[in-house]
Amino acid sequence: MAKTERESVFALGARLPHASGLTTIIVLAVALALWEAASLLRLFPPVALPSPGAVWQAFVILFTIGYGGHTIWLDIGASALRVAIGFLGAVAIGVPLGLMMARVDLVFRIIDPFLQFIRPVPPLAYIPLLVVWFGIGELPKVLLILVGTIPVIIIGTISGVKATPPLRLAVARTLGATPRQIFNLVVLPSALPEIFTAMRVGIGVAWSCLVAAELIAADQGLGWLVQYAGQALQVAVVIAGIIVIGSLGYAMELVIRLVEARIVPWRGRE
Amino acid sequence: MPIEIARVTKSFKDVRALDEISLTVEDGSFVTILGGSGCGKSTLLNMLAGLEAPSTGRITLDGQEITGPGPERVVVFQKAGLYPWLSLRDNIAFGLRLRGRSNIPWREVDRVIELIGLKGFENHRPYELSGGMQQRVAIARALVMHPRVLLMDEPFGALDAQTRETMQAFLTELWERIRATVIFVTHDIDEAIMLGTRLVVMGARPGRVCLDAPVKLGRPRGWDMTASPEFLELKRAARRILAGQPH
Ligand SMILES: Nc1ncnc2c1ncn2[C@@H]1O[C@H](COP(=O)(O)OP(=O)(O)OP(=O)(O)O)[C@@H](O)[C@H]1O
Ligand SMILES: [Mg+2]
Repeated sequence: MAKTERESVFALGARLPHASGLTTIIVLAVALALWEAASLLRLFPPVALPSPGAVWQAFVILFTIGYGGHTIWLDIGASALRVAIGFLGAVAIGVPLGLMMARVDLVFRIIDPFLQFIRPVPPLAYIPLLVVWFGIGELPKVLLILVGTIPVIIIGTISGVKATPPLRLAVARTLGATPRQIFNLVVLPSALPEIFTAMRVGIGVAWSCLVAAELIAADQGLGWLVQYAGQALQVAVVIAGIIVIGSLGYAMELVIRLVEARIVPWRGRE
Repeated sequence: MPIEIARVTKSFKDVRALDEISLTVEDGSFVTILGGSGCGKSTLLNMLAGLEAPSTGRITLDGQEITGPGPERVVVFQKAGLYPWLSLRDNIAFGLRLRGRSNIPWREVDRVIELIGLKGFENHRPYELSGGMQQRVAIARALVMHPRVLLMDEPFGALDAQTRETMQAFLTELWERIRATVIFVTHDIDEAIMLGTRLVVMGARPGRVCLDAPVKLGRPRGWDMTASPEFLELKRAARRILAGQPH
């Protein structure tokens, strides 16, 4: 599904290279105007829906004076680090595990039940366990992100291996490749595009686990900021926090796309 | 010593794809196997390649039974099947690299690149090449292995008529130089007669050999030969078999 979505976006972008950027700007401008209008007309109480101006002010305060005793840079740093470590941990463990599961049937049969089991569990549900096992420091927060992200990575890796075109395998076999060579030189690179897709989905999942992770006795971080401000009914701060989270998540996905374009330039061009 | 296909049959589950085939292929010959879609040409070739095992009977090369793939029998498939993460040069050297990274004869690889007319494209990736160029790379990848037997499964089937003719001329010239044994599968009658020293025509359901005749055309071959009596006689016989008429 992610693929067709991507293709349609690409097709549109290819046909309307300038117009698509323009569309984005127009959509954003219209949304902003509607928001301004809704707050001017007081469709909702100002506590629930602050005006764009109020949110802008919240931004300025967050970046200069800060909220809860420190500026937002500290929150950004803390959260980005947690997400990055949790995500990279999920990739570092998930990709080799997925490869082994795809290659060795016994490994698949051992791991798969656990995978299917943890997949539907919302990350929030792990919090008590993680706190009992690992305390309230950074470790349980990072682990929560890792556990939430790893199923996506593992499943993407397995399906990438399974999607290796049979012709590529037959060619290697007839040229005399050993099973090990086939795996390293053919299957692995063939799986890369799907592994990158999984990573792009995974970075989004990692960010969406962040708020849950920062429910664990945090005193900084974007997830913490949003919750803390929410309890104080500082909706403008909450909205500003959400915008920062969204932008950072998007920025990290763009980084993955850049790496992807370097490592799998053949993607979608066969 | 030749390739011996001795009373080979192949069934998939209960469906018999090939009915008792016996053929002896002499060293250095160019055998074309002609047959309609689904008559079992690929099945036969895959068994020669060692990608599939016969249900009964045996295939031997130099008296040794073929039990799996081996680099002395290299296959060129209908699609090039190049690796998009490798450059043209590395694709051609792929089979050599499997034997050891350190002693790849790069000079020969470069010579073969020149032979297939792709000098200057060494560092291109497969997706930057046309279909005909890709197929030439696939042939080059097979050639550098110095195979005893070159197995080709409709290698030009996916190409346009113009490119196909160029490639046929290229392959003929090549074979006259290297004299490997070639077993070439096609469903194109003219191609089968023009290329081969021997023509095997297969009938369908189940697949079997219906005609096995030498192609008595001189070399070098040229398209003017398509009007010669030898050519037309073979073509008529092959046509009759492909149309499913008794012969
Ligand atoms: N793996 C398989 N499982 C089941 N049946 C198969 C398999 N491979 C081939 N067959 C059957 O065997 C018969 C011969 O197939 P084969 O691919 O060898 O035909 P072909 O002569 O190469 O045809 P084409 O010219 O279309 O490539 C067909 O009826 C096909 O359905
Ligand atoms: Mg076939």
